[in-house]
Amino acid sequence: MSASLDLLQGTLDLLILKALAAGPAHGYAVARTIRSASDATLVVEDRALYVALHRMEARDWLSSEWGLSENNRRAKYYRLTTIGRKALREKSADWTVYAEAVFRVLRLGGATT
Amino acid sequence: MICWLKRVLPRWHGTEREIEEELSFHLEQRTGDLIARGATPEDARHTAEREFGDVAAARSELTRIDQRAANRQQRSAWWADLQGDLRFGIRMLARAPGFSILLILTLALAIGANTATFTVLRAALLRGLPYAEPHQLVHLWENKGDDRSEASYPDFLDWKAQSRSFTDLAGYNQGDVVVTRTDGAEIRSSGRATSGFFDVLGVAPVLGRSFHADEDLPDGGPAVILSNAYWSNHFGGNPSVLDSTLTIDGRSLRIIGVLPASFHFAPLGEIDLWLTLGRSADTRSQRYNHWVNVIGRLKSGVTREEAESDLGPIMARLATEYPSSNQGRSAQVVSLRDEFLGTVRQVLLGLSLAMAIVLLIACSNIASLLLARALGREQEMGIRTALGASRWRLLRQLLVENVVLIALGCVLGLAVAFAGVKLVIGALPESLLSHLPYLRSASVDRAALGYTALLAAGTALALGLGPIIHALRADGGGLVGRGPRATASGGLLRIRDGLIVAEVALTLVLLTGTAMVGRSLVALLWLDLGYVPERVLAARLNLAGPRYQEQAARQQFFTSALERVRALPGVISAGAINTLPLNGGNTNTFKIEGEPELDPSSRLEAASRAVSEDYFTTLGVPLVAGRFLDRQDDSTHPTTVVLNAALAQRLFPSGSPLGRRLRFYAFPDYVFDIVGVVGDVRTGSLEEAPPPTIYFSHLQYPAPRMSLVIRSPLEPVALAGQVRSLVRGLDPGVPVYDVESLSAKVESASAVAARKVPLILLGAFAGAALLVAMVGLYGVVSFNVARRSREFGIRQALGAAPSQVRRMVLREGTLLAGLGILIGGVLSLGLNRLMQNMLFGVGPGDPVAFLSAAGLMALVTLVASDLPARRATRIEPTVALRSD
Repeated sequence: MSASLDLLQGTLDLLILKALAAGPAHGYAVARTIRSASDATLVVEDRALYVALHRMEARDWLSSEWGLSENNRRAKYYRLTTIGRKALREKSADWTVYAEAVFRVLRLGGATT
Repeated sequence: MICWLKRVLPRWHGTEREIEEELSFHLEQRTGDLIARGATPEDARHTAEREFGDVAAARSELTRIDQRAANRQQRSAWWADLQGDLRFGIRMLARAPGFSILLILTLALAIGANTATFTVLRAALLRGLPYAEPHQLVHLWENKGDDRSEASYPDFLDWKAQSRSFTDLAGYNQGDVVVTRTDGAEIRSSGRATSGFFDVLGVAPVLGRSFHADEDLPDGGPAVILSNAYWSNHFGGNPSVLDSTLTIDGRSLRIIGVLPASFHFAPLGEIDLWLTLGRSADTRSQRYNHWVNVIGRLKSGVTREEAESDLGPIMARLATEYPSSNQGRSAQVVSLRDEFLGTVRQVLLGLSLAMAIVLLIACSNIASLLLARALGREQEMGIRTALGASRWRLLRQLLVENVVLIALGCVLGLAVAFAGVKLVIGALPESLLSHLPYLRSASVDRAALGYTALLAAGTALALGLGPIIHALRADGGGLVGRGPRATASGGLLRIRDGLIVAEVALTLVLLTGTAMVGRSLVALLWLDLGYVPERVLAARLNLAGPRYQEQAARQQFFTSALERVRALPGVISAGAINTLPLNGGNTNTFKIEGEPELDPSSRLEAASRAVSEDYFTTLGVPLVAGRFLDRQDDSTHPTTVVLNAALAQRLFPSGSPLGRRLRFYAFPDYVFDIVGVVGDVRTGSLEEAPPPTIYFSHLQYPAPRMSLVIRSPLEPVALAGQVRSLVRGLDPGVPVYDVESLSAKVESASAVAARKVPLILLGAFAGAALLVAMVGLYGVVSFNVARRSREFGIRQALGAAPSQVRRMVLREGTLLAGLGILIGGVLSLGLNRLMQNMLFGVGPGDPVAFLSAAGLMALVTLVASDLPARRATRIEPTVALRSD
């Protein structure tokens, strides 16, 4: 837990959108995907995850419907809407630009010391 | 349809139950995963909950997010529905453009006409007088029995001194004056007022002062106050005008003040100059001489009734003190506004009554058209109810459609109102406008717009109600699968038939009213006046001032003026009279020589006129007996008179009046020989029968003001310039005015104007109403034909002749129209009584007016129902049978 990083503002939304880009999934699956894909570097509090899911649904980025899970239980499945897909594209592009810029600065700093 | 259904279905997601389910699913899955990795169930559960965070807080936070989202979604769905309704409503309107245009135009007409009436009425009746605290202002009258008269000057002074209800009383009067300036003389309208007059009204001069009490002298004080218009037109608005002088009626008066531009005193119309009350010391001392108009300002808190009972004892004291003049007289106090409005109120109220009828007709027409459509849409409504649309949804749909219609109608209606106000004010006679100057500036203002909005809202509700109630009662399942033709319900049909009957009845009321007023006008214009007004020019001359104090000077002037006029090329004959027909005039009391003296209250009385030689021949007044007055009837010969036939008949029903003699109480020293009898002339007004009249020779009974009458084969007005310059040649100080042709004078007589304006307006209303009623009837009959097309098809298939079908349809239309005509006729009879004083030469219930109005109505309704009837005969049986 100490090795994990707190998430930057807005990053959680991007991670969720990315996780759902592969196809509809329920909340637990999204949490699992984020945890495993980041090798548990990024730890998301589950409560925050659900808040983000519902908020994005209210914003019409996601839509939801009830379906059956792998072990035949009723689960709420989220999927990207067209708006959500567009948001994912924009946010990931922004994030890449941002991250590259930060990287450039950090590298430059390393050279001068 | 699907998305519409989805909106109506209950929302079953986003509830707290779902959040609970979602969260517990998450926790159970996580716990399960951890157990699978070897944790004890208890540890696993623990870890899962720790990783999740505060579950209760999450639950409430998610609920809040979902709730807000749901609310927002509901709101936007409502808006989307509304937009949908609007689009649908507009589509429905566009699908039947004729119907919609008809509805909108009818609405526009009705709303516009009413807004215009409201604006004019508000300007005339509701706006205050342009004075300080106008509700305190009153007008005072002396009554004797039913006769109302001005006060005598001594009575006025007693009221002023003894009453305690008024802050002050003031007197006024009117009299035109001759103003002599370096560039000639002219007649100017002038008001006469006591000191205190302007203070009572609460009006202060913009320049100078008003009259002082010491200027209130017999024969007039030496001061004059100018109206703002006269000041700016004749003195260029120069403030140095004060203390300069103006020559008025031969006297030099000092200009002491200028009134504000906004000042206006309705009873006198447009006034240029204000003089002191004046009149001779004799006149001012006579209690029997009633000539002072009195206004007053009530003390605050005193009512009109209290003021009247305050004056009661004063009048009672005067009656005992001066029985010969004041017996039976009482004082009446009237609010100044009622006094100002006078007969205008009647005209305007009549106008708004007609407008209200038009609105009623328009509304019932719109209502019946909407009902027809509602009937046609029963199937649609039924299907929608069956599919789960709530009644509220359907109701909103109907309301939105009405609102679209009414909004369009209102926008057009405002345009109609703007034009209507101009039209109405343009149609009002100038004489009326000069008394109500604020009518000129009447315009559609914010209050009128508010009224329109109110009207529109009321109309929307009233119009929507029928179809809406109907829609709410529409029973879903039963209607699906049945066509509109089969389902039109009896109740609505009856309402709609009733509306058509009402329309026809109201239209007939307007038509009959128009016919009655029209016949009165025709009767007036074809009236035998007793003279021939065509091709006669009249011009009035005023001999004021010291030069014409002597009677001989006046006679001399008129005689030579007439001689020169007769010498003008194109003049056939010329004469003069002191008061032209239709201009009113005074009366004298007299007795027949040799008959016993009568007591003062039953003395003989007749109108008296001074005429020159050739007056009767110029006007074409026939000689009945004896001779006309001529040039011999001067001061050197015995005094003579000529009677009109009415008076001769009354005085001497069996014998001849020639050779009999009269004595006038006003000139007891003279006896007048009756030398002739002439034809009757309508002298007072067109409506009155010719009054008994005595004609004097102006050479024996000279008048300071006479009107020349000049007959010529030329257009009379073409002579005007020559007459003016001829008089100027005689004396440039004598003003020539009221130059007009006698036929123009008859056409502009108040009796004609009082009917012409209402006739134009009534006629316009009646025409509009007729059109609307025709369209309404056409719509109803057409709809019925469409509804029964299957029946007609079957009938024809079974051998009914087209003429039979046509008769069936016609019978339906004529039945409704006939009932309407019957009811309208009865209503008109009732209303005739109300308009009795506008009628002339026609009795109430005049058969010609009634039959022609009813005939026109019947013809129009026949045409309106025959068009659809013909269509019914062309229905193909096979098409009709297949159409369901």
